[in-house]
Amino acid sequence: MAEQNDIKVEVKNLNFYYGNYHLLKNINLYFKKDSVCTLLGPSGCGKSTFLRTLNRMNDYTEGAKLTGEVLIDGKNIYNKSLDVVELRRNIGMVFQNPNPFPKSIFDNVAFGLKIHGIKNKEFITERVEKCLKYAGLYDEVKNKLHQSAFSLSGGQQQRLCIARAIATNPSILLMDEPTAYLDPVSTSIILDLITTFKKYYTIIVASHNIQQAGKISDYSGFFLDGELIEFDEAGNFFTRPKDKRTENFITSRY
Amino acid sequence: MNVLDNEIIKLKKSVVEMGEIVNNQLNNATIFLFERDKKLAEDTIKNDHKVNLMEVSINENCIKLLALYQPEAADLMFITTSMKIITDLERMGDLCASVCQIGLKLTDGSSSSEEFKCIYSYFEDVAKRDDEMLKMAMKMYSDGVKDNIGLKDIIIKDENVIDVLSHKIVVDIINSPLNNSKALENNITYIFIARKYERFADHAQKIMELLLYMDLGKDLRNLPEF
Amino acid sequence: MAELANIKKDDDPMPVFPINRGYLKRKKFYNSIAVFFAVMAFVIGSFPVFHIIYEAVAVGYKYLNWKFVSTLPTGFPIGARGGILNAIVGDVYLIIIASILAVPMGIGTGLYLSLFGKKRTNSVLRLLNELMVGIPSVVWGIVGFYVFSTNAGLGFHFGFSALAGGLTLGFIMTPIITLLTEQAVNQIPASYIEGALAMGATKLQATKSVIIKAASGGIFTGILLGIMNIIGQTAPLLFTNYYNTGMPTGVTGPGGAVGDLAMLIFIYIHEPSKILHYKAEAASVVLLLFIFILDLGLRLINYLTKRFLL
Repeated sequence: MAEQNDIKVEVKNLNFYYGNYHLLKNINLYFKKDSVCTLLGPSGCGKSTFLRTLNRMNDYTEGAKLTGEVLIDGKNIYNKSLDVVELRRNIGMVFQNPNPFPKSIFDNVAFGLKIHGIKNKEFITERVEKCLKYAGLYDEVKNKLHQSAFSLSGGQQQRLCIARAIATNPSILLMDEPTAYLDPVSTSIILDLITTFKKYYTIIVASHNIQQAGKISDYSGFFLDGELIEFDEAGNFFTRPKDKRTENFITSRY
Repeated sequence: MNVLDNEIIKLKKSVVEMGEIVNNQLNNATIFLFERDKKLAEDTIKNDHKVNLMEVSINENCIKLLALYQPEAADLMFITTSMKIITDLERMGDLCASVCQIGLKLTDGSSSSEEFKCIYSYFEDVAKRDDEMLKMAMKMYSDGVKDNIGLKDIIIKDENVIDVLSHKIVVDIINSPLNNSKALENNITYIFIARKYERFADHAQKIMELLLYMDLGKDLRNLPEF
Repeated sequence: MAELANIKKDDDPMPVFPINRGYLKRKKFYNSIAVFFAVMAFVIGSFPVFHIIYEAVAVGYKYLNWKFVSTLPTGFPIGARGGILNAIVGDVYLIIIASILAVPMGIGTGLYLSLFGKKRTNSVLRLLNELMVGIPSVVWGIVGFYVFSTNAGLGFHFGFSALAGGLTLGFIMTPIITLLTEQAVNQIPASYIEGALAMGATKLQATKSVIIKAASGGIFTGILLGIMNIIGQTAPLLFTNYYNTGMPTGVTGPGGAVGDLAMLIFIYIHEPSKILHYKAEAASVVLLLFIFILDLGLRLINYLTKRFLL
């Protein structure tokens, strides 16, 4: 067990039901501060659902029921008094397919600031520029900031989404298979971004790509049928998995 | 600069450091032989543990790199070669330790360096060449292999010279007069030590061969023209 | 893994099956028959449309000039001289009034259905909406008359006026806009909405800043379809607005009635006068052009907003 104040997110006895389906079965794990953690597993194993329980995106799913606790910085996010907007400001999320809003590149990044009531134009301009720089996109788009975000390539769109996610200054980044639809070059750019970002953010990535997960992770977990089979430091996870099922998955034997 | 590049630089650093420690061990063992400083020998033997630990940790690290980053091409060759090199380095460290182990027998005062002046000069020569070969191997490793053709000749020549030298030592020892039974025992000890030095050179040569193999994809040992 | 290995070990070659050439030939034949029927359906379907347009232009071409659309009807019987300006102005009145009611209501209901509502309320609302689409326009007319024109219903006493007519038409327009808005919003990838919500936006903020923009194409189509629908309506107007040969002086009361192209055509064609019949034909061409221009205009607005405002 890591030191108490090193832990950013802690999940205790988490169960998630959708109608009659028991999607997540008694998940217990923790994520360390400023590290990259990848959650592996075949499609439909519950890793995306798990990610979405961390920023309460499942709130909008009808028929969903959740028991257990998710502690972020020691506070249970399923506490009734918690402000969901504030929570989501603190947690950036990047999705599987690049989903820039139908707005200009600039407005996409500024969106997060605007919805949180920031009106200072200079501040927004400066922040947008900075976020685009962080995401390694600024040089490519500095001349067309006010063009539609859809004029960008898939990889650029995904980086725009990352820039958008970090604009509100979150401390946690959730990424749901961020490279699933990208070409190899864009993929490696994004993977590099993730490894540089781990200095500033606690990053949790859901992935079914073992190779990519290995390249970025400090910690890895393996989900199967809604259960967390194994969670360990990446070095151990990828060389000597403890569970046979994990081994079968990472060696592609089914 | 991606993560694997950084990791490879780190790996290189730690292997070079391991090489330096082995080199240090070799020098210490040699100094011990000449000065008969018991403490130095004991330190050297103790230090061997450090080399062993380093081998384990570097090996572990290499496996982790292979598992996590799936390196290709040059990276793959570099990491696998490093894994083999550290095995040799570890053996070399063992050899230094055993030189000291065997050499401790000589510290009971029954032999003096005066007695085998000529043999010692050979030892000095062999030790110097061992040292040079290891240094060259580690330089090849850290700077990358350059000027392949020239290196091939040097490697072969050096190894041959050491073979010849150690053979000479053995012959000289056999031919030396025996004053008492203790002298015979000492002579056998010298032969053992000479063997260790020769083996040390063998490993250094193998490291260089591995590096050439990494670069050229050809195994020198199996090519008849060398 | 084990199963796969077993399959390989069996080494049982796939049996080769004979190709049924007769079947393939027949399939090609059926295909050409299907294409023939499709083409025929198009020809049969579109022929009357083109023929009607042709007839209308052929009969009414004499009156298709600027004067016809820019002057009020005069003479005896009224309309024998002059143009149809009253009807064009009246249509604009009606469209504006109907839109003021129907656009916010339709979009609002559509957004509620696709984003906010619960499953059960949604199914009820959807049923009601479809019912509203299906209500015959005559029924709308009677209801409009009862509610807006007389003081019998809710106490509105707008008389035969643009307001009563426009509002009635607005209620016809609303369910169409609702239907298309809901469809358009449902077609937006869920990731847009999720993306906005994950940034910490409330549902309202997400709707305002992302969803409406993404669905604007569909919503515009809904508005357009609604307008096209009401512009051709006569039945509801019979009871709520009827017709005015001059310009309206207000939107309610005695002076509030407006002219309307569809009503104009309806009335002119009933008059025992050749000139008025010709003018009715010409007016239908103008109505077609009116819809055409409206369509182009709204599409242009939609394109421009997408292109430049985003």
